[in-house]
Amino acid sequence: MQNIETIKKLPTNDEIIAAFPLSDAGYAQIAKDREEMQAILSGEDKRLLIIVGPCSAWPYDSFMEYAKRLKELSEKVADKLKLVIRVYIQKPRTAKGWTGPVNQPDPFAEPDVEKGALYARKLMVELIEMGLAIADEALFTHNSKGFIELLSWVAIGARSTEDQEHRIHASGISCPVGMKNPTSGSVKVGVNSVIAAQHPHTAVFDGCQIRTKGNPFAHLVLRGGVNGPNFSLHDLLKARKRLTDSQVSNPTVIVDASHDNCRVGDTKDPMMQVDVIREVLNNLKVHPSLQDFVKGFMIESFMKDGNQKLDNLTPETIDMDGLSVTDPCLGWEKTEQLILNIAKQ
Amino acid sequence: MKNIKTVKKLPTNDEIIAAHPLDDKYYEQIENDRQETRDILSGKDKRLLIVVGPCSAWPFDSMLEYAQRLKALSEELKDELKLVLRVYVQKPRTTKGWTGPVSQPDPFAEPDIEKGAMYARSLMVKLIEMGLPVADEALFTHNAKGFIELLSWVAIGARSTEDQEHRIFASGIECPVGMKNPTSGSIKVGVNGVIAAQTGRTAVFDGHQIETNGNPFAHLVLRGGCNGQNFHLYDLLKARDRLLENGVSNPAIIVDASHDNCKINGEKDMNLQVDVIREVLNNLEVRPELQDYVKGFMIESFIKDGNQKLSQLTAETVDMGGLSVTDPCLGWEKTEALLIDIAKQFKQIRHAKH
Repeated sequence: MQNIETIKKLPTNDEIIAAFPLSDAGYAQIAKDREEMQAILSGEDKRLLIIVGPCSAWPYDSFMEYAKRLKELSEKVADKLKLVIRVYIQKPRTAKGWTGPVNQPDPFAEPDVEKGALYARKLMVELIEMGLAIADEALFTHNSKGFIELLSWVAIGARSTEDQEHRIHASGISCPVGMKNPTSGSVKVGVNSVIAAQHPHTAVFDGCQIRTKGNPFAHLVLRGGVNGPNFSLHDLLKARKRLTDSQVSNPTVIVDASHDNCRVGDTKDPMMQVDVIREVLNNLKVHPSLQDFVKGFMIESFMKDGNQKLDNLTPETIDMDGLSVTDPCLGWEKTEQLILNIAKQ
Repeated sequence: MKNIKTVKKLPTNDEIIAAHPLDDKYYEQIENDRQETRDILSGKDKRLLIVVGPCSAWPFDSMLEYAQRLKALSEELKDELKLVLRVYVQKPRTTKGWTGPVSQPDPFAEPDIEKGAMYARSLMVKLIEMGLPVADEALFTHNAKGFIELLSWVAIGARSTEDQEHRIFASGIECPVGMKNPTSGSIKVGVNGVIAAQTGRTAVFDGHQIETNGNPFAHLVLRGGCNGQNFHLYDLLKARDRLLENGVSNPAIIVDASHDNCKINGEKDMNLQVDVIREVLNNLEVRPELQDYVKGFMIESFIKDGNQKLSQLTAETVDMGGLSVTDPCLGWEKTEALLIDIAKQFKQIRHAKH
């Protein structure tokens, strides 16, 4: 296509892996983390799954600092909660903007996908060796090289959840996949995504005809929509009925406490995540049958409360100490408090 | 990924092209068709663009029969309308089902993507040699081999329009791309799709870092949504204002007369497409300034009225005479009458304006 300019050939999957290899113990840990998550989704393991971390996995050093704190906390609450760290290296945008470290590891320099792949692989390998299970959004199906094998949980985002290629991608992934409802907030479309992701498909990948097996651990993630939140008792009951009627395997839901579920008016309020989770936990107490259905939460959290806007910043003025460069996050103290409270309740 | 089985290596782009080559003069014809389409969108060419054809481009022979009739009609109407044939080889599904001839050229046999690529390339080559411009939906970005160079118009469908990879793909396509509104019916999300497709991007394609130039002829397609239609005067004004506020190049709207724009109580009524178009043309007459933004229509049409359900059919019972195997279509007689009416009415409207 003449409307495209080829910049350079990228390293292969094997080359990226060779640059930052993972020990056998690391791979064994991933397999175990995936199994634990499957056990939570199937109801065998009664803990809650908590996917928590910054909106985007950048910058490197404050991310590592955050991970250390989360690792310590995860040991404290291990009886009640399975914590998974959000390592979102790919960022979807409403229209345009920074698409995350996987394409542009230095947001103030030109995009560089080779450096981005190495950034992602290195960061994830270090986190796994630290003992953490990691999660990402599968945004770029053309560029999942070098890190897809490292993930214990994958999201298909609200903007891609109705797209056939992303559903097919989800149906071929080895770890549990959370299918978000679309930005319209439709629970129906979200459930359709779960059905599609659990089903096998024939497709093209890397120039080959492939057959996916279907992902029996594809589940629904409620993240609210343009018309408001969708985590109320009514929404949970509606989602359960739809999933059960559709006879999907392991019918379960994760509530995303962030995104349109914590929006008041036009503004996201990261502090509201605490209230979202409190309300859902209260509903689980009053309606214990829902405990077989609601399996966890997603939380956007970093070192500092709030966010900063990349567009208005330079390498000199940017805060590199764990202040989100995309959506606003809950700071560390509040995150710790919230997670301890969830475990207690 | 262990959850995936590799079935076989597929032929390369060059191999598919070599199997069904196209003469140089037809590449020129494609370039000419693309330019006319761009000129309509920019307002240089005052005709209407009509993207018309079956819901899915199957079976082969009745597709050719349909195309012959459409070609004759397009000659007759060419002063008012630019007809582009819908050759939808890729089909999105609500959850699962037949994904079109590009994956499964024989819906009663196993999927076979190599055969599907050959089906798509050979069908499109024949149609272009017949003198028709062809349109398709870009559904499978991993499998655009052998035919993307043949298209004069491309749609990004309602289910993919908010997806970043499809928006990037659109930003790198040479021919005009229609970005549909999503199934929710949101005009805002549709316009965001247009903005994104007009912007150059860095991405990965075939193992390479690439940069797209952005597609200045990306435009909006209104196809209705789960809450009802979005082709009324109010919707057109809203869409126009949003496109203008965002300063997009060549702000233009195509009205898809089918899909959720022709749905009554959850059922698609293909005959309603006629009424949708009539209402829009009436609005263009009353509000002539809208003629600078509403640039055409999409129509789902085949040889016979209605459709048949593949899941209830066998190779023996399927009607191979041009009855849609996916969504219901307007039959040929009604399509012909509709296109003649559009040309007639549009001629009057245009003359009234100028």
